[in-house]
Amino acid sequence: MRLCHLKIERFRGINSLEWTVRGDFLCFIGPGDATKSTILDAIELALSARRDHAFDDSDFYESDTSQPIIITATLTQLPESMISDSKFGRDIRGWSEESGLRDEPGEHDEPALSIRLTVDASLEPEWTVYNERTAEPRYMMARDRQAIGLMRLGASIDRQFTWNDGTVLSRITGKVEELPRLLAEAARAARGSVAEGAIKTLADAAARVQELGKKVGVAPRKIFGAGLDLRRVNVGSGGMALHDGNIPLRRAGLGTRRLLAVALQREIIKDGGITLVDELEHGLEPHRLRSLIDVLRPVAGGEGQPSAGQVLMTTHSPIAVVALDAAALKVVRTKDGATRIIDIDPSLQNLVRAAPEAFLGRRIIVCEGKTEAGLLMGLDRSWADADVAYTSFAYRGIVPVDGGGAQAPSRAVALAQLGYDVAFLGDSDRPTNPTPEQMTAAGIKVCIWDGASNTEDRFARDLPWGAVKSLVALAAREHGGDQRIIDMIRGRIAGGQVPAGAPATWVDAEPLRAAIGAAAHANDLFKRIGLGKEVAAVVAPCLAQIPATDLAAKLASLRAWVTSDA
Amino acid sequence: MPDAESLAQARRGYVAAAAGCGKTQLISEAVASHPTGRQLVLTHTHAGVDALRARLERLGARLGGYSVQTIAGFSLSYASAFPRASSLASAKPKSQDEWKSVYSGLAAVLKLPAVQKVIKSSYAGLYVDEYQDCTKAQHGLMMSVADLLPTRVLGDPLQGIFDFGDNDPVDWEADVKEKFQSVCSPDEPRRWAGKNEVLGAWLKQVRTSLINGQPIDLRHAAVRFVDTSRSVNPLLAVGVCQEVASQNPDDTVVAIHHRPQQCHWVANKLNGRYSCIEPIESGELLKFAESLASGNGAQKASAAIEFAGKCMTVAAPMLRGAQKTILKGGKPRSTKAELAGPLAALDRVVSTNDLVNVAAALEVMKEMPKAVIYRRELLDESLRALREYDPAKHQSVADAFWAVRNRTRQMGRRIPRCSVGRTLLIKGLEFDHAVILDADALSAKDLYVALTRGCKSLTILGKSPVVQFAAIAA
Repeated sequence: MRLCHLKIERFRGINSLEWTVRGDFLCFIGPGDATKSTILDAIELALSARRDHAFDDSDFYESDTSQPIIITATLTQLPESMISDSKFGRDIRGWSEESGLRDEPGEHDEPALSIRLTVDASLEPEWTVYNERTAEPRYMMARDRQAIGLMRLGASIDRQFTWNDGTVLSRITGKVEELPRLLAEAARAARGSVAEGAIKTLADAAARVQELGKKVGVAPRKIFGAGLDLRRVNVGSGGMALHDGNIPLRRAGLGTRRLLAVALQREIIKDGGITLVDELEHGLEPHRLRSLIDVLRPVAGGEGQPSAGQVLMTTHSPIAVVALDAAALKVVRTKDGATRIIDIDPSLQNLVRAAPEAFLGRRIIVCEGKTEAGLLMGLDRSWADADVAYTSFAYRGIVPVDGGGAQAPSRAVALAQLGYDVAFLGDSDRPTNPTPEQMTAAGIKVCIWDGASNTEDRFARDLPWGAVKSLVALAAREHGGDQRIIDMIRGRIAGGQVPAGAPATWVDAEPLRAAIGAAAHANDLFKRIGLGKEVAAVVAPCLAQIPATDLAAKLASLRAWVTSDA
Repeated sequence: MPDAESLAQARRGYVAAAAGCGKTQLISEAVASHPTGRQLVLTHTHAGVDALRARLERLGARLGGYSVQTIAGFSLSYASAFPRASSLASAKPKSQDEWKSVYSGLAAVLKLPAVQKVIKSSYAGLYVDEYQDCTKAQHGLMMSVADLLPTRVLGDPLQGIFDFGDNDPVDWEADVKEKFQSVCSPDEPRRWAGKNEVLGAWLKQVRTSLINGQPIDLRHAAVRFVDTSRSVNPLLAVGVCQEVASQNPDDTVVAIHHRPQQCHWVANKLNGRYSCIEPIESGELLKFAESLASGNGAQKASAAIEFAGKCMTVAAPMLRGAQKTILKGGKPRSTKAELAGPLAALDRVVSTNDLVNVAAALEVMKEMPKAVIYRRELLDESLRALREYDPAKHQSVADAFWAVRNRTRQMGRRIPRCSVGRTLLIKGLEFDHAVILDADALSAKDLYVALTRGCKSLTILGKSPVVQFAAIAA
């Protein structure tokens, strides 16, 4: 079974969403309020057999109950029992990768079934099989939905470790004839083991009740005592739970339970169920997160066979993002209730690997390289430290990323097309492709140094001389001492004459500044994200002194973008 | 029963079975023998569906192991489920042409791989009964399904009596024998076992004679032959029917005539003792519906009288004068007490022009002294349709009639103890006693169908005791 199309109308934060699902292993990413979990909730409510969700007004978009919530989930790779004409065979629609969803199957379509959950102001959910050509609603019962085999790896996984009705464990077990009798015996034994009077304080209380009863004319038939009321003690099959030694599995770590629940789910749904996973990384160390992803990844069927099942997840973890293909990642965006689910172009695969955080934010500053990314991260700290009114990148959902040099401009445009709010910080010493104008046209805030310059060049030219020397000292510390730095500068200075003495004693001179900038750029002296904090600590306090410089002006305009919440 | 087993195992098998030789039992046993899956069992008439269902139930066939439907119903359900692919003209086909579009529509639908998957998910195999009654178009559909499912067809070429008009029935030789493998040809006359075995044995001989084109002498010990060549009294047939019904008060009886009017006349003369079996697509019902579709109250009152004349005695002849007066715009009066009620009811039709009052008028006419209903099905169905007619629900009055008729088609109907009907309407049905009213007028196949309806006795009225026909391929 796989979900091939989803339409959500007026459900919680989603006023409208229409999504053609391509792929069996998909992970929603996006900022916190992008309605990722709402999508999983919608799928679960439409397709699971549970009926215990009590809808209330807040389930309606903007709590407006004047129009119904409608969730329409369309499935393919349906089990025979479901597309038998004694069930919904004549209600099928058509699906193919090429044509998408059609109300009637076409020549190359496979059967698809649209299951629709409707909730109107009465708050009573109603499940039907939907198509455009049938006026009469065809109701879908919970037991029909059971066949879909939907599992949500969410808050209630502990139930999966009991023999409750419908749990994976009970389905693996099958019907056990003698179980009710054994349970009844166990119950009686439990009752017997807590003999009346065995717990003295309880017995005393019972005796007191008996005394009180006498006063109001209630005489006991025998005597009052404390006994185990079996109706209050769960000795039904739901009380049977999986134990590890003496410890019920529900006491095991969250990660362990999630992994085990997935393993159980995989076992039962051989013909491919749909698994929903919230917050993939929840409770898992990085290596177990990766192994969870491997367990979840649907096993491809043989040649021409459908893969076994479909997995839809959400994550906020860069580790998970790295472990997934770009094709598996779906960016969720919601603006004024209009939710979009956007594919990530395979050309961004490298960026996914290199800067997974980028995809988890709302706004991205694509930097030409690590120097710029490090600088911005450092500046964020410095600005926050210096100004209580400044709110950090983290708060604003902004992620600076290393755009990977020459590819940075095209990645910035690609990210902007994915719906991210993008700024670009880069050099002007080489022509960019796309051009700054094209980037601006794509809605990107473009910050490119004036002239044919790069970041190191701007540092060297624009900062006060003392700050330049501080950066040189930083570089010397990082790259093997003053002499190495002097050697790097030597070939780049006009006339080849490096000032004598330690860099700390150097006197400000235009050719020297140019040489320092060129050497720093050529030798990647600041090209390490971790160094950015220290670089920024030097740069940030100076900016106010040099407002007229390009460095200060561009960084100020970037800061303005950061704080604008566009 | 080994025959049932080999039938169940056939991938593409056919059975040519003589009438009354346990074909229904054979299908049912074969269907019941499948341990898993669901078998699609198709036949032509709802009576056939009912008979198969009853037999399967009696055999204790696994519930959910079969689905018995009419070919028309099955075709319509799939064609209307996919209206774009089928380009179905109407979801409620009435005319012959609309039904043709159902079959051509289904042919298009069955070409869709998604629908083929549904068929394969729904059924493990196909059985088609009364295959000789399939049209070429239906045969084409069955062959499409045969590409998806193991298919077995059963029938009797000697009972293929639908070869008239533009029905274009299946050719047993080319369409069945060449496309399917013969599984068995049961000819043991089971229907007559323990009831009238001499008759059963004779019918087996008759079958051979028909196939070979040999003469058949109807004056056989197993048959009561009534020579009508010298009688001019049309009531002779009525008398014979009367007699058979009286002599066998607990048995079912069918009287068979090839002309509908003659059936109605006999039923009329039998004073309601026999009821007419009506075709589902009753032209008379449609005509009545159409006469009520427009016009003023006077015209509706007149149509009601006209229609009453088709279903019952007394009313129409007594109201002829009143009908004329009404149509002229007058208000008929009568001193006859028994006419007071009907005239008042008709007057309400005239003044209100309401169909509910048409139904009420028919009810009143039905209650007139000595009135006898001899086409009860026609009358009852009309009353039902008139009461259910709702302009919000039905496009037209005819639509309401069609809905009622279609429900009967689906639900099946109870055949009265004593019935009169044409071979087309009684084929596939089983009675204790059969009376053939016009043996000379029947074709070879019609005669075979008529001869094989009664299992206890057979009475034949005819002008010539010996009949002979051209040989029939079987």
